[in-house]
Amino acid sequence: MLTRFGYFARETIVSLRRNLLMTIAGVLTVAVSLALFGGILMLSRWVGHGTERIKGGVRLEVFMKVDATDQQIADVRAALKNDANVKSFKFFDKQAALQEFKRIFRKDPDLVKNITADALPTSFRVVPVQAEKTTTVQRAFNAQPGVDDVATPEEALRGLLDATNTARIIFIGLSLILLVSSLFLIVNTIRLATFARRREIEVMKLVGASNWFVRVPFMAEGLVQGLIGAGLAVGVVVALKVGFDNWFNSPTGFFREFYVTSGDATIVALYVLALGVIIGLIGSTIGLRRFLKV
Amino acid sequence: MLKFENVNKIYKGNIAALRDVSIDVQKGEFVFLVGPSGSGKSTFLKLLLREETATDGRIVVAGRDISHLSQWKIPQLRRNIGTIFQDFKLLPTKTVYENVAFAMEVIGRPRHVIRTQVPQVLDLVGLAKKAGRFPTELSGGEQQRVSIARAFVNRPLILLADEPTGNLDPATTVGIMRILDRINRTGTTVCMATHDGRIVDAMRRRVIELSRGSVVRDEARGLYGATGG
Repeated sequence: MLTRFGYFARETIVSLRRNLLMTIAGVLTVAVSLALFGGILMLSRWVGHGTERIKGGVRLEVFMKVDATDQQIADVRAALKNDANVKSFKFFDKQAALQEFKRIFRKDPDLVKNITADALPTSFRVVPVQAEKTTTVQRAFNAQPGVDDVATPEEALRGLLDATNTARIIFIGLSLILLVSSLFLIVNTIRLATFARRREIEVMKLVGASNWFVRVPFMAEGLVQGLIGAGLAVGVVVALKVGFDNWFNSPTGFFREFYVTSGDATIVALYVLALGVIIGLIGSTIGLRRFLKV
Repeated sequence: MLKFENVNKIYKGNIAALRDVSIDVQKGEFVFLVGPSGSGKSTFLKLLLREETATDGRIVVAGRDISHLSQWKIPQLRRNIGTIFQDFKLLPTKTVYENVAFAMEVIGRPRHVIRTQVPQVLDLVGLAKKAGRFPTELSGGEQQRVSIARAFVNRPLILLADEPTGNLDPATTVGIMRILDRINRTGTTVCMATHDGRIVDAMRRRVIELSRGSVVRDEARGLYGATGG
């Protein structure tokens, strides 16, 4: 077994070196396409966290007074339910408010330390039937007893969310195109490799080497290309994580609610690696298909 | 050891390469396959190696029907068959020793077995002293001996030879035939396609003659040309 592993490793390295230029081209395209892919995923997560409050079309936040009675809250709830202009709504109790407060002001530990759930208002997140109905609903509920304020989240935030969604489609499209071209490059590298070693392959088949034995070094070659490319792209993802943390660090600025966690970066990195592996394996499989017939 | 039962092989375009061929070769036999170019000798060998599949009929190799062998079992079949060619098919980047060892490496034989077997078989073909040379540094006869060593090193049950002396002069040919004879004496079935009438006449072994895809002669101790009796 150890002999075989040594054999495979040796053959793979020799072959990668023999096709150095093609290998580099393949690795770089994989890296660029996966970096784009990973980058847009990171951006989506970053914007996703920052626009949590307006997800699902929420355009209004009905804040109750901190000392609103249960009866007043129930009345507002009933009124929301009966309002023809309200499509849906969600209630945030004091605990939920505290969680969100902690999230938004995570960079200000003193503030978070001194706050208790009791000091925060409960609220309703409201989705109107149409965006145009926003002000109608706002006026209707401003007057309700127990209501402190009806806020409309920043329009700029909404614009950013839309822009991100558009950017996501464009970037994922671009990275798909690049992924396909990196696939072709890997296919081509593997074809060249099999061509360079066709005599050896012929002899191997002649003396009864199993198909897998013939295939493994080439599969490994594709895999290595995919993995190195993905590794470079993971570097980009890590850089983005650090960058997002440092560039948009102001606790009061527009981006105060935007962040990416290490968990986000890890998940994105895993996606990127998995995609690299898949591309490498698919590429080498296609590249090997022609010669595999006897 | 080798058995063809009513085998037909028709290539695309309705070209019949073998017609209703039935042959039975026993273990340890030495068989010459003769006939003009295009008579079906190469197709015969390709069918044995399962490089081609028969259109119909049954082919049995070492007790196993290979007519319907699944793709992944083909390597196992080929480990039972050693093959040598007119053009040797040696790897130019490997030494004599490495060429022979390669055949064992790629079917996963352990290194210590390789280390003992390769020198033995190189000794058998008389190349023990040239183990470190590259194929280009050898004469044609020597190269063919390397390819015989490679074909025999895994101790196949059957040795197929496709015009092994086609590129060699008469004196060298005699040397190659001696080695094939020696291998045959170890109990290996040898099946050799050839155009070389002198060898066939000198060896006086079984001769199977093909003509336009059909067996026209099968004699136990035949000559290259028909004897008429």
